[in-house]
Amino acid sequence: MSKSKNTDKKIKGHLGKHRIRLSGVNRLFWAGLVLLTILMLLAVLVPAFSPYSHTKQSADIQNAVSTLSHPFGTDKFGRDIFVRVWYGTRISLTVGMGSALICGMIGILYGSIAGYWGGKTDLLMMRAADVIDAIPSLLYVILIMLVMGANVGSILFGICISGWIDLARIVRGEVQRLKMREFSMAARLAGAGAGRILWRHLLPNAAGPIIVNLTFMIPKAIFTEAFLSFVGVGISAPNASLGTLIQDARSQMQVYPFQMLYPILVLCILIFSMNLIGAGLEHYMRQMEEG
Amino acid sequence: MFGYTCKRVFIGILSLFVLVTAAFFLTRMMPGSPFQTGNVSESVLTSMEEEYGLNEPVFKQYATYLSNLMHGDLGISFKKPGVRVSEVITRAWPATAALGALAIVLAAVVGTLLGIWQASTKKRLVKGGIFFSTMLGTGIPNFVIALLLMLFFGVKLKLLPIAGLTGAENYILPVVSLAVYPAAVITRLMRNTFQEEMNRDYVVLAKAKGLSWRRTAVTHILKNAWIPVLNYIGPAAAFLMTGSFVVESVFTIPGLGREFVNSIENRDYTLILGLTIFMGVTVIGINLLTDLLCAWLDPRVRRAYR
Amino acid sequence: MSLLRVEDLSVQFHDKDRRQEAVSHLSFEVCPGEIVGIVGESGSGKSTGMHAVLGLLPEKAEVACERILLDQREITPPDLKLADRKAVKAYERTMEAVRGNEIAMVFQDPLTYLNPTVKIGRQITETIRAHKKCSQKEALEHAEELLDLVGIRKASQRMRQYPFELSGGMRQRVVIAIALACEPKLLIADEPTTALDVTVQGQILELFKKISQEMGTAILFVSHDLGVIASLCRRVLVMQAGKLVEEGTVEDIFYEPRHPYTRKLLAQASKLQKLPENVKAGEPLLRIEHVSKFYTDIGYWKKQEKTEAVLDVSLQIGRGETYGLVGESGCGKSTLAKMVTGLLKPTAGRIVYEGEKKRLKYPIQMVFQDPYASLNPRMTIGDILEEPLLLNTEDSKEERLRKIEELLKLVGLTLEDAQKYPRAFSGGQRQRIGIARALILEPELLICDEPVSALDVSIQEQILSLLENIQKERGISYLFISHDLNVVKRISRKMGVMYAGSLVETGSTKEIYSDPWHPYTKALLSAVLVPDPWKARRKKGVLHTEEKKVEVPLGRGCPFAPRCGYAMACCFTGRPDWYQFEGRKIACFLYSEEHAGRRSGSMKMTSQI
Repeated sequence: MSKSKNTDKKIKGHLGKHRIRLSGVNRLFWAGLVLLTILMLLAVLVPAFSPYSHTKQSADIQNAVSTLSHPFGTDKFGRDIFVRVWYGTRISLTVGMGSALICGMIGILYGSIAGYWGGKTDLLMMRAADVIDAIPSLLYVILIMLVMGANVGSILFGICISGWIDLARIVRGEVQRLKMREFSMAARLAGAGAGRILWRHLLPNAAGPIIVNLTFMIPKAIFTEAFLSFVGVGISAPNASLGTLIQDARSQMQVYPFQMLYPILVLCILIFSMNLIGAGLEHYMRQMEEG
Repeated sequence: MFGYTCKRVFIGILSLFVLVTAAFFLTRMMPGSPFQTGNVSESVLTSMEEEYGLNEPVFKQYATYLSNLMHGDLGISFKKPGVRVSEVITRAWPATAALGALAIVLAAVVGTLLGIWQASTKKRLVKGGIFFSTMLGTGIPNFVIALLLMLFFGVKLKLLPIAGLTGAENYILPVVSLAVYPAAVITRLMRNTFQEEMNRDYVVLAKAKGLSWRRTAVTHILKNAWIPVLNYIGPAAAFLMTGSFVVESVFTIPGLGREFVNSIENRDYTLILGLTIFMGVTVIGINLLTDLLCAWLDPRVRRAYR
Repeated sequence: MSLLRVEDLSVQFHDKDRRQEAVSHLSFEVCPGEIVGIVGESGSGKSTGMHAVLGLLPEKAEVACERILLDQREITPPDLKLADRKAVKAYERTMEAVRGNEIAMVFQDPLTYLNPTVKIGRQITETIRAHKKCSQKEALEHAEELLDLVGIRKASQRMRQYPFELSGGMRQRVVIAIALACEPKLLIADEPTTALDVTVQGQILELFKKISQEMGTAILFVSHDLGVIASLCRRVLVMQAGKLVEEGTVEDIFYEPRHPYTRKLLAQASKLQKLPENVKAGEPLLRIEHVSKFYTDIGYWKKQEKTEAVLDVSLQIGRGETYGLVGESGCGKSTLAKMVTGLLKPTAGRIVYEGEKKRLKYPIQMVFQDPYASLNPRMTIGDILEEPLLLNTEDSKEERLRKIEELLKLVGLTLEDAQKYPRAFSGGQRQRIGIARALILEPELLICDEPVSALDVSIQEQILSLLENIQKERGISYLFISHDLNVVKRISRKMGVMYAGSLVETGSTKEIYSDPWHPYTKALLSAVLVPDPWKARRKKGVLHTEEKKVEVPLGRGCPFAPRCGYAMACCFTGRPDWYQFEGRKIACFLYSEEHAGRRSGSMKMTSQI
């Protein structure tokens, strides 16, 4: 969670610096941010303060329809779907933000090193990345899940095996491009070392593409987790993830379609809000480039 | 071009080797014996393991597996005795390949057209509409699309069949639910690159030559704008593979994806390993082909790649 | 009767809420076969106006025009706000037939204007086939003839190449070939030589002259460079801030300018023509001794290739002196500069620096070429200036602030500017900030790598005099690098000429300019265009076919030999030594003892060419 606040602050700081007007582009960004904040609050607060737990079954209220006490109704074991949905959102957010954080750090570090030092180091590092990247990441994730068990940790691990490569390529390209710019030569003449040049001069100027890539990484990870849980390899019962919920409700799809539609709706809004933020930022970056 | 091809093929082979190795050792590391299902006695277990060569040292098993792999032998299923993994693949592969190929063609055509339309139109409504559709397309997971399509067209309207792969109309829903996401991505890519290329100086020169807008768009802009889209075909192939897991299990199609999901549920390790390797090879191969195609189209790629 | 007649053309740019008038009420005409020049500083609307004539401007530009007539035919662009779609479509259709066929255009940067993924041949033939009915084979034959006409050898081979495989001059020739494909009546050239080296520029101008004479094409030539205009045009239009301020024959404009702006432009240009006085040099501060730099390309199958950037360069810079280094792009002058600062390590030879600040990691500082790329856009001016102090000194916060203020004042800015980000400043101001940053550690030697070549002439002069004043005040030395011979002449007392990684001639600026000895120096100087039409016309140019890419040969032979008009057999087999005559040094066999004869101590060497 702390990562998201951090990113937000970074984004705000970044936007604030350039004093941009509230154009259509930023409406996208802000709409996404508001949606995401609401979802995050619900995901944190609902499971914490609800009288029901996400695993407790009760035989007397199976397949109940929406009421005030159970806003989304209950499932075939009498569990409150409202709590389960927000609990699942928590897992989705953890996977999304966690993978963005880990992949972000690895990608930036790897890309910076390859781009800044160049030469043989770069050649070797990027070829290694090519090799890892050629293998579809889902296969890693599934194999890791089978070996390490179905939990959030192994999903994160699986996603992070190859999730950083795109970002590393972007960072490398940006560092290579910016390294040749005259201001970084001036920084070297001023006596700055590699660390300072990267941190103060190169990476801040590459912030745009990096942030955009990170925001798109989050929905991708959420996607993967939901998909795995849906297929039955992900988070397993009685824990609930959005994918699991959808899969569970599928058997009763024709009778109780709403048991399936609620988690679908939340999942879609979650991914949608991230995409809005990403698209808003992307537009903004392009406008900045065009001047 | 020759040097570039060699390098790419080399990377492809190396990736393949890494994949095989990783997949092999990971499946061997999975907890429990594959034959431990309830009331199997110890002696049966040992004899089973002997039969499959599981009592040998892991590295010897690995060497055997590799040498068998060279001859195209992926081993025998643990759970369905006597069924070769390669048989499963030859049986399941055509359905998956047909769905995937149809979906990627559909996605490429729709995506390219929508992307160009969005980039070149002046109507705000069209621009906004296409933008919103791509947001939806990339925002809704494919299994949700599959379920919703099935619920609406199959269950509610009863227009289209919801299971099996017997006739042409059976293809519609699976192909559409597979194609939505890549189509949205291609639209976005196409719009971005097309718009970027539209503002390049060479377009001004083409206009100054007296070429019509249509001609400029086709012979100059598209030639450059298509390259990033083509680059996406590799990842899209990987995506279709994952998509086939879902779509095949939702629409009960006897394809590779369903076999894979089943093999995971049954913990059928040789089958998992064999299918993983097969899918990995396919994706690596497609990646390689699109990379080579891009390099052939754009001489700068060849030059930049050391 | 006029060929092209433009009446009352105005262009406005809409940028969100800003409206900017780029061209206002421009009227002019061009007669068949004449060469008309349009001159003005950047931002004067000269090329925007030309784009508007052909309807090439992007949609955010609002074009209003009374009338444009081509051969009495109307090609007036419709007013987008008032006209219906039909009128716009009809205009587009007429223009498609006009563009490339009757009016063709040549642009500034040939690299970006050629499609990088389409072969040269295709880019030419498609023009032909857009306007004439002919087979691909006929078009190809015609394209080959065109390439031959613009002076490209091995045309059929070139046609199969991509733009990035050609040199800058060749690319511009290709663009000209495209423009000539349908034998247009009018050729609009928008700064076609600005991105090119001087010697190449001369060749391209000769080509334009040839086209005008042989094909009778009228040429509308846009340039900021008065020298180019003087050597080529018969009639000149002067533009300032979107308006036409003066119009007349080239003689009228250059010898009897009436408008104050024209006078200002001419005064600036002629200021650069004066020769500097000789001065006595101080004791040596920097010695460069036999320095070479090789680059090795890495690749994993092929053998590692070696390319040379700098080969065996030696020179000396004295205290308080400005040393000018001249050479065309790719001759290795920037590599040499980086080696002097220590950013690059020389492969061979050594650089001895005698300054007092030797304890610093980089005692020699540098002013960069591009004022937009040399300041980090994410740091304030204060941060940028503070960085060297933070990393190299133990100054307190107040001390640092005081130094920053002092330097900002020195370069003509205020302390308030320290809060701002680079984008708040114009190009000239940014270059001042760059100078302040270079000076903040109080270096004794400053390297100026093309510090003014990205600036307008009037700003150039400001920066040059700022550099001179600083030198007077602080007594520092400059190594001043430029491709612009006028600028080097303006600021330096001693100079060296570089070609293909080697120094070919050194000496006092005055002597070299008035009497060049090395054949390359002579070629370079004769390519400089003076803003004086009579002098320019007296100069006889020779049109060569195709300039070679400057290749640095490995080891053997004089690098200039393949292009040299005086080359002898020995030039191809051995490298010339350095021959010294008083203050002058030269690397050319023409001055060797074998060639110029055994010399006695009292003999005075003169130019051998």
